[in-house]
Amino acid sequence: MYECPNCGGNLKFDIARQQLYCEYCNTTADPYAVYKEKDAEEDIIPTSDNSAKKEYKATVFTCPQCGGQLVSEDTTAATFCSFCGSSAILDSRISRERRPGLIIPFMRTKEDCRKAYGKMMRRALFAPKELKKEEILERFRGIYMPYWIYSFEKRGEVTFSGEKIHREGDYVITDHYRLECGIEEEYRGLAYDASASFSDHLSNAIAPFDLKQSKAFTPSFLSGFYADTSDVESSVYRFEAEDMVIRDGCKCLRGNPVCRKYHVGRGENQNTLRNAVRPFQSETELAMLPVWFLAYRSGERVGYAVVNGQTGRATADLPVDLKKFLSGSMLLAVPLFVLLNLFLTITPVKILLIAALLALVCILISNVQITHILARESGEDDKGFSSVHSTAQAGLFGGRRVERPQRQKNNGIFRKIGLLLLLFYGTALLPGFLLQMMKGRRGGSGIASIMVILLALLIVGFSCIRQFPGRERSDMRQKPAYGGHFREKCPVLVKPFAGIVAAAMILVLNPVSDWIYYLGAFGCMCMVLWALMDIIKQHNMLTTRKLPQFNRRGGDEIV
Amino acid sequence: MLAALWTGIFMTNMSECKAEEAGEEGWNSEETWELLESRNPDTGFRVLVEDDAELLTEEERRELAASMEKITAYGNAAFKSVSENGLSAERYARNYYMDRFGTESGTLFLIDMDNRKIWIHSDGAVYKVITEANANTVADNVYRLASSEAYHECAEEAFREIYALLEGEKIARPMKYISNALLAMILALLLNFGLVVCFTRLRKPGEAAILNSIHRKFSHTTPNVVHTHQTKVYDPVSSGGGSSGGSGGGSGGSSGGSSSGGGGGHSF
Repeated sequence: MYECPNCGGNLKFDIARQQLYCEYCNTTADPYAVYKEKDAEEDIIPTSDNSAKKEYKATVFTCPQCGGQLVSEDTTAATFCSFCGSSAILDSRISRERRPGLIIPFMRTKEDCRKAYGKMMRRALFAPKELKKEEILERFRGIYMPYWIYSFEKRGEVTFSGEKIHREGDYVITDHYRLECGIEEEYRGLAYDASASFSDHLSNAIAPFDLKQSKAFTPSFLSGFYADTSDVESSVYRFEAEDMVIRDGCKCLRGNPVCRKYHVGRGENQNTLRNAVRPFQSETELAMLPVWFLAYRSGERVGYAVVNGQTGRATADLPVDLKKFLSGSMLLAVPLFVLLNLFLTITPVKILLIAALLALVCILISNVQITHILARESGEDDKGFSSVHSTAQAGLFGGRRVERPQRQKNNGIFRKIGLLLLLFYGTALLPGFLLQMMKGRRGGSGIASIMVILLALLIVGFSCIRQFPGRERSDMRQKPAYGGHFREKCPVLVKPFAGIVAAAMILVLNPVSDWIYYLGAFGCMCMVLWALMDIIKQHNMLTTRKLPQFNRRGGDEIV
Repeated sequence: MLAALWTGIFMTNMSECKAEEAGEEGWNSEETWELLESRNPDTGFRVLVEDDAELLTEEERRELAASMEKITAYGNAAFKSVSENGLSAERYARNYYMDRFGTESGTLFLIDMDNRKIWIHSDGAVYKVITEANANTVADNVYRLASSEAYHECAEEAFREIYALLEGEKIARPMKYISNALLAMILALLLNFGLVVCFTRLRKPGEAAILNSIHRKFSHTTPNVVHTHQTKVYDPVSSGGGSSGGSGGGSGGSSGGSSSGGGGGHSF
């Protein structure tokens, strides 16, 4: 706590004034002036990589339920957790935290944050009404999130390759050139979040921060706000940041008329250009960047809404309220029904094929969504999280996923053949039947059908190469075309697949009675509706997160 | 409007026909065991009942021909049954219609006992109403009668529905509404899901936006170019010049004229 020099009250950082402010006696104070008074509390300790690491004392609040930690200069008890949304008195203790080098103070007030959130929610037609209530907005909490700030530099002479190609008779002649020039590049302020508890997706969605407005860090800026602790190593995002710098450098150089003339950066010359602009020097600095943060419970899961405390850019995990979604869909179904009656004449074969195609669409959507869910739940799609937590521990399906490689070895071949058959059915037979129907059963040449089947065979052949790699490719890490996780996907995908199988059987048997076609089509459509409900549930899983379990003591935090 | 006009003309014709029913004055008719043919003197369109498969009794053929006469206000009307057919029902119907009526307006109802299929083929002005979709619907509505060997009722019902459509009336399509309702529901759910995904996706800003927000400086001097070496690759220019033309292609379709008609059918 920073005491007011006038009345001894609690000085808090005031966003409008950009100063520390005492609400009891209206005194304002320069954050750096207060910092000087607390200077004794800061230490400098050496680290393993010989760089000095500064620390400062702060109160760390730990959630008893999820283990999430928040740092504050305020010693008043925090009454809810911003990570799991639970309303519990957080345990507090005094701790030493790594001192960031930079900070962007909050520039958007809570009122600005509420407005930005409200504007975003106006577009979210099917979001649960609880997310639009005023009470939930009170739970927005200003948190300084730790970010790694990467800076890259390069000065000097560089060399790269270029070429000019022309033809002389039956020969293609390539003239190779060496291009030399001096470059001076400087990129400062590429920010990547350094907290495993802050999702990469959320931090990316509220980016960018304008680092030109950053200031030297002093702990007094935190007064009145919270701060997350940094637990992700600075090396995690360095390659990604460097790659962005290299791409931009290449783009700048390729734009030069001389470079354009000599086709610099094309084909084999690309690597020489990348090496030429690859920065020599890089610096990493920890910074605290302002984020308005809200956690809300959605059953046994949690969702987050975040607003950039500097720019006001808002984003949120927005699940779908099933009732709202269904009633909205029923409203949309009315004009669609009228349109279909006007333009579509249903025949039994046609409706069966349409139902089967819709089932196929559901399979594709479900497959993509489950792949994303599994990646999300295990933290695979979050570099920061996966660098801190082992994916085996954090997986949605726990220990079962560890067994998977052995299963693949045992019966993978049957599954692969099954997949190829399914692929053939999806790419050849269904379009083939559809084509037949579109032709109006006129007979004639089946060139189009043959082309569809040939195309399907090509796709299956390509998939074969992926599924059954040769010796030289066998040690390469394989990722199945469908995204893997067959066991987890099977219970969900089997419903629309059953509809497709039923439709295929009816089409092959070709019964005279229309009723069989209609019954098959309605059965398939029921499966599609069931699958669509699953898709909505999957979407809600994707837009919420499992309750976090951090239980951490690590990273740069020193107990 | 056009339908009403046709109806007016037709009703006039019909009243005249009924008055002259006994002697059939004005209707030129020709009759053999399998063939029954008559012509509407006002429109010039013909009724043709050709029952090669001997599915109808003589009386049934007369009754059918009488009910088909109404259609001659719009075009020719033909009933054909065949017991042996080397072609598909569709191709046979097309060829038969071309042989009998050329490209004149009209409709043909075929019962193909060889392929176990009924087929409705239309051409000219009638085809604008009895489209492939409508022909399929009519065939779907009557195929059960053919399955139960009620060929006369099947043909009568088919021509009744064709006439109703020509008159601008509606015919029964119960499954259409149920199917479309289910389909509309599914499409609405899918469309709404697409909207939800579009609006709730967490969007990452582009690289340009990120780079614009940082301190960024990139400058370079004009590159100095030095020629290092030259490579030659033998790559002969293709002598054929690609596959040119070649696909003359026949016009396909039926022989002897360009029929624009079509139709639909059903197995029974």
